[in-house]
Amino acid sequence: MLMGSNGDALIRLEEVYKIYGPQPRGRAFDLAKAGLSKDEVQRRSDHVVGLNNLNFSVDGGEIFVIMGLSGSGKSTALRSVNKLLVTSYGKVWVDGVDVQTLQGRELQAFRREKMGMVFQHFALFPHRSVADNVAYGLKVQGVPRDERQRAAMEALELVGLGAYASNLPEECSGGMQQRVGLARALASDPDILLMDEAFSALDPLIRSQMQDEMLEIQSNLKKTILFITHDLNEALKIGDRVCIMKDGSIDQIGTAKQILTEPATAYVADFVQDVDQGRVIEVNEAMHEPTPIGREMSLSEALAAIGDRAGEFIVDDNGSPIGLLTLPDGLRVKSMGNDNLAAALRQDFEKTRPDASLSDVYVAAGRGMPIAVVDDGGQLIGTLDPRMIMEKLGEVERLMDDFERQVYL
Amino acid sequence: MSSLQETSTQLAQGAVEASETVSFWDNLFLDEWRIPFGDWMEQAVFWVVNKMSPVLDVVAWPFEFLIDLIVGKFLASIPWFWVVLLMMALAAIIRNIRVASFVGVALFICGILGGDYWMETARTIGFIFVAVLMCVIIGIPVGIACGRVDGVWMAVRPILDGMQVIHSFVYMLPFIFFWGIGEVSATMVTMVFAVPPLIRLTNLGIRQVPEDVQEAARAYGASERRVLLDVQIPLARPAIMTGVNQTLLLSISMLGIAAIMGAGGLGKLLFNAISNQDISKGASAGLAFLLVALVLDRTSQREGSDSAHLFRRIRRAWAHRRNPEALLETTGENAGSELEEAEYASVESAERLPLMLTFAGAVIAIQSVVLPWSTNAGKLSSYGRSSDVSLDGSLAGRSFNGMDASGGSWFGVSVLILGLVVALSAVVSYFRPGRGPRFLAADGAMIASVSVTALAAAHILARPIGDRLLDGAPDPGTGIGVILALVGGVIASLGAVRWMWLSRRAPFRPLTKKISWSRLLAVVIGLLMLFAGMFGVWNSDERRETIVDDEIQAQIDELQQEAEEPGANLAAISAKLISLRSQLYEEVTGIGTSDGVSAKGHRLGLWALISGCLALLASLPAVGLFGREDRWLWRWNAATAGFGAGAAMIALSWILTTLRSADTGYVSGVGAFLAFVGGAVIVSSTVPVLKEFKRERVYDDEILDSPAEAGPSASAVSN
Ligand SMILES: Nc1ncnc2c1ncn2[C@@H]1O[C@H](COP(=O)(O)OP(=O)(O)OP(=O)(O)O)[C@@H](O)[C@H]1O
Ligand SMILES: [Mg+2]
Repeated sequence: MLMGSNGDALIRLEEVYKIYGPQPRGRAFDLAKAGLSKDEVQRRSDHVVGLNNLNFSVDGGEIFVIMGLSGSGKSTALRSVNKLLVTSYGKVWVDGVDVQTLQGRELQAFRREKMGMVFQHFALFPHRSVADNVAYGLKVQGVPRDERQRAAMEALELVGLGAYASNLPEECSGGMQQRVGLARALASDPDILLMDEAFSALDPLIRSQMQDEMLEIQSNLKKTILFITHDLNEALKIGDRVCIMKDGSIDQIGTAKQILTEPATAYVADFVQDVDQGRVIEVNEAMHEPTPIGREMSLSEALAAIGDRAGEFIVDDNGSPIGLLTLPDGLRVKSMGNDNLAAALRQDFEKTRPDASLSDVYVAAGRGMPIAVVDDGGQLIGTLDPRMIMEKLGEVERLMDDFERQVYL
Repeated sequence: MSSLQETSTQLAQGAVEASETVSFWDNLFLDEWRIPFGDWMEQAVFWVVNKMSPVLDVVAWPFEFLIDLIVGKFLASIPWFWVVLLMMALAAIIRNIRVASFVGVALFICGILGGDYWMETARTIGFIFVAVLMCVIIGIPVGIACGRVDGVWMAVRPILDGMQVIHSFVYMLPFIFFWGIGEVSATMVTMVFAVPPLIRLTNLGIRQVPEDVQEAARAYGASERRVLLDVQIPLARPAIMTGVNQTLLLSISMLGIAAIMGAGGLGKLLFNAISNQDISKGASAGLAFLLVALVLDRTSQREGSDSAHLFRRIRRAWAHRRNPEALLETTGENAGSELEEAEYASVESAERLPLMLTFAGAVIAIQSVVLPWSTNAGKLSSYGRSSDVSLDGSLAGRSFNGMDASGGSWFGVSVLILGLVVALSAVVSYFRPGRGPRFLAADGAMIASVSVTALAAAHILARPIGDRLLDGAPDPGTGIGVILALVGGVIASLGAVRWMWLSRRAPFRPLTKKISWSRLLAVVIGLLMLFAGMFGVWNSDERRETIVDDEIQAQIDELQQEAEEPGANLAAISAKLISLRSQLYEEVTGIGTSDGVSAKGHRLGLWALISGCLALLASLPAVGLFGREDRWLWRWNAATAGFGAGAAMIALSWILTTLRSADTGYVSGVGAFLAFVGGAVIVSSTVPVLKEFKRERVYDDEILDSPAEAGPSASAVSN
C-alpha cells in the first residue's frame, strides 16, 4: 500500500478549516484562524464554522471513532475525507493523496476504489430496489450484473435483510433502511469505510450484532473505519481510538480509557461523566501484590502479616489460592481465644482475572471481601481490595470535580 | 366646398416644408419624434431572410421533417382503422385498457363523421404529436441544463418570462416573416407557447432531488453523467411528466391560432365553418376537435392525477403558465437570517483627493453643456433638418449649446446625464459611503466619465454630412463647450482611475481564479457587432419633395377661384383636382444611405469601433490574462465597461439625435442599432465582476488582535 510522504497514517487531516457561507475565505476565516470561538465568529460574520483547525490522523486498519455534540462538525469532518464537501483551508491526505485537490475523473476513481460511506440520513435511492441500492457501488465500478447481484445478496444477508432484496426502500423501516445503507457500503468492499452514525437507528439487539459483525470484518479484512457515534458505550466497544470534537475542533484524542480516565478538558469530562469508568480500568491496575501468609503460621502471626489490609490469601504448593483470611474473621476467632489459623479461613472467596474490568467485579466486591486475582494457570498474582476499587474510581471522580469547580466557580 | 379645401391644403403641404418649431404639447411633435423602429426591423428581417436563409432552413428542417414523416407519410396516408388501433395500443401501453377503449370509441366517431373530418383529425393528431415532440426534444434538455447549472437558469429564466408575457399574436409575426405561413411556423409558435412550463418543471424537478441522495451516488464514485441518469432524472420524472402534460394541454389550446397560421387540421375546418356560418360543418368539426383533445389528454395523463375534466385542466394550465411549479403542490421555505448592522469604510483623506478630482471633472462636463457646442450650423443634426439647411447662411455666426437640437443635441444631453452620474457618485460616496445605489461609486464614476470622454471626442471628430450645406453656408465650427466636455471627461476619468486605486471596495466573495474566456468571448462578439455595425447603415436619407411646377400651380389657383364662385360644380372641380394631383410627382432628394465609416457619412461608426477596440484591450487584463488579483480585475473591468459604454452611447446618442431633429424620411439605420447592442454586450460582460464589489465594512479590529479577551467583551458589545 502506498503510504506517501506523510508518515504511516492512512488518513490525515492537517489544519483543516471549513467555513459555511458565501465568503468562506473572507473575514469569518480570518476570525476563526485568529482563534475566535465558533459562536463568536458566527455572530460577527454570519458564517458558520464547520471545522476549526482540525488535525488528526488514522492508521491503516484502525477504527477511529469521532464523537461530539450535535453540530460539533463530525459529519463535516467525515465528508471532507471523500471531498463531498470542499474545505476552506488545510490538507486532507488519504493514502498519500491530497484529496481536496482531486478533480473530475481522478476524484471519481478515488472514491470508487477507496471509499464506502454510510450516511446519517440513509440517503438511499428511493426508486431502486434494496438489492439495486446495495449493488450501486459495484455498478459504478463496472462489475457485471450477475456478480454484483451476488455480492449485494451476500451483504444483505450479512445485515439480515436477505428477504427484502426486491422491496423498495420506502417499504423498509428506518432501522432496516439504515442496514441497507450499511450493506451498500460493505458490498463494494472498499479499504476505507466512512460511517456517519451508522447504527443510530438500530434497536439495541441488532445494534450489538452489527457492532460484533463490524469488529469481525475489521479484524479479518483490516479495513480502516472512521465511525461517528453519539453513544459512548459503542465508541468504547469498537473504537481503537476515540476523538471528542467540539465546535469544529478536537478536544481530546486517545484510547477509550484515556478519554474516560484522563479527560483533558471540562467538556470531555462532562461528556463522559455518565459512563462508568470502571469499564475501562482493569483489575491489575487496582490490585496489589499478594503477600501470602504461610499455612504454618499461627493466627496472631497471620494477623500481624495482614497489617491494615482487608485480608490475605493462603496458597497451595502450586500458588493457587485456597483460603482467605479477612481481618474481621481473624479478630473474631481470636477474640474467642482460638489461635488456630485454619479455623479463621474461609473458602467462599471470589476470583477474578487481571485483565477483567473493574465493572466486572462490582458484584463480587459488594461483599466487602478481598478478591483473588489469578492468572491462566490459577496462580495467585494479586489481591484486589474493594476499597482500592473505590479509591481508583475516586481518583477519576476528583479529576472531574476539579473541572467542575473550574467551570462553576 | 370643404372637401375641396382639404384637397388643396394636402397638395400645398407636399410643396411647403414645415419649418416652424412644433411645441411639445402638439401632436405633430410626435411626428418629429418617430422612432424608426419599424425601419430597423424591416432592414433586419430582410437582411436575415436574404443572408441567413441556410440558417433558417436548418432551423425549419426538423419541423418539416417530422411533420412530413408523421403527418404526411404516416397518419394521413395509412387506412383509418390502423390509426385508431395504433392510438388504442398507445393508450393501452401508457395508461390502461379503459382509456384505450375510450380512445377507440372517440376516434371511431371522428372517423364516421366523414372522410374530410377524418383527414383533418389525423392531421391534428399529427400536428400535436410534432409540437409536443419538439417541445420534449428541446424543453427537457434545456430544463435539465437549467436545473444543474445556475448560470443557465439565470439566462433562460428571463427568456421564459418574456415568452410567456408576450401574446402569441405578437411573436407570430417574425415566424411568419421568416418561414412564411404554414404548418412549420405554426408548429414553431405552438412550441414557443407550450415549452416554458416543461422547462420550468424540469428545472424544478432536478433541483428538488434531495442533496444527500445525489451525494450518495457521488460518494460511490459516480460521474456527473451517472448522477444525472441514475438519480436526478428518475427522481425528477414526476415533475417532468407533469410538464409534458402541461405542454400538451397548451398545444391543444393553440390549435386555433395554429389554424390561423395555416396549419390545417380541425382548427381550420372550425375556423372556416365559423366564418361561413355553416352550422352543420361547425358542429361536426367541433365534435371531432373535442374528441381529439380528450383522446390526447387522457392518453398522456399521469396515473392517479386528478381527473378534472379537460377544460378545467386547460384553464388551469393557462393560469399556471407563469408558475407551473405550483402544480406540483410543493412548499419551499426560505428563512432569511438577519445580520447585524455593520459600518461601511468611510472615505479617508487618500481617497478624498481623487474623488474631488472626479467631481471637478464632472462639474466641468456638466457646465460645458450650456456653452456653445457648434457654431454657424448644427454639426451632426443640421443635415437631417431641412429647416437648418434651407436657412443657408443665415445661421452663420449663431452658436448652439450642448442640448440644442442644432447643437450637441443628444450628445450633449448624454454628457449631461453621465456627468450627473459621476458627480452623484462622488457625492454619495463621500457622504454615505456604501449606502447609496451600488453603481454610484468609483467604478460607476469611472464608466460614466470614460463614456463622457468618448462622446465628446466622437462629437469633435465627427464630420458634417452632405454637400447641401456647402451652398454658401459656412462650415459648422466646433464650439468651446464640447472641448470643455472632453476636458472634463478626461479629468474625471483620470480622477476615477486613481479613485478606484484607493477606494475601499472589496469583492463580496473571492473571485474565481481562472481566466474567464467566456467573458473575453463576449467582448469579442461585442466588438464584432461594432465592426459589423460600422459597415451597416447609420443614416438613411430617403427624403422626398413634391414638385409643383408653376403651370400646375396656376391651374390649381384657377380651380380654387372657380370653386369659390357661387353655383360652382364642386364635383367636377374636385375630379379635376384629383387628375391634376396625379400629374404631380415626387422627387427623391435624399442622398440615400451611408454607413458609419465611409467619407460620405459622419464616421461615428468608426469612433464607436475605436472605443470598442480600447474596450477589448482593457478586457485582456480584465479577464485575468495578466494576473488575477481581485482588485486588479475590478479596475480593468471598469475600464472595459467604460469604453464599451462609450461605444454604446455614441450609437445611442446618434439614434436619439436623429429622432429629435430629423425630417420625415431621414432615419438612423440598423448599423447604429447594432453598434449600440455591441457596446451593451461589452458592458454586460463585465457585470459579473463589477457586481461582486461592495464597499468594505469595518469592524473593530481589536478582536483579531487579541482573541483571548474577545469573548466576553465582544459579546457585551453585540448585546
Ligand atoms: N450545508 C451547510 N450549510 C451551512 N452550515 C452547515 C451546513 N452543514 C453543516 N453546517 C453547520 O456546520 C456545523 C457542523 O455540522 P455537522 O453536520 O458536521 O454536525 P454534526 O456534528 O454531524 O452534528 P449531528 O450530530 O447533528 O449530525 C453545524 O453548526 C451546522 O450548522
Ligand atoms: Mg452529522
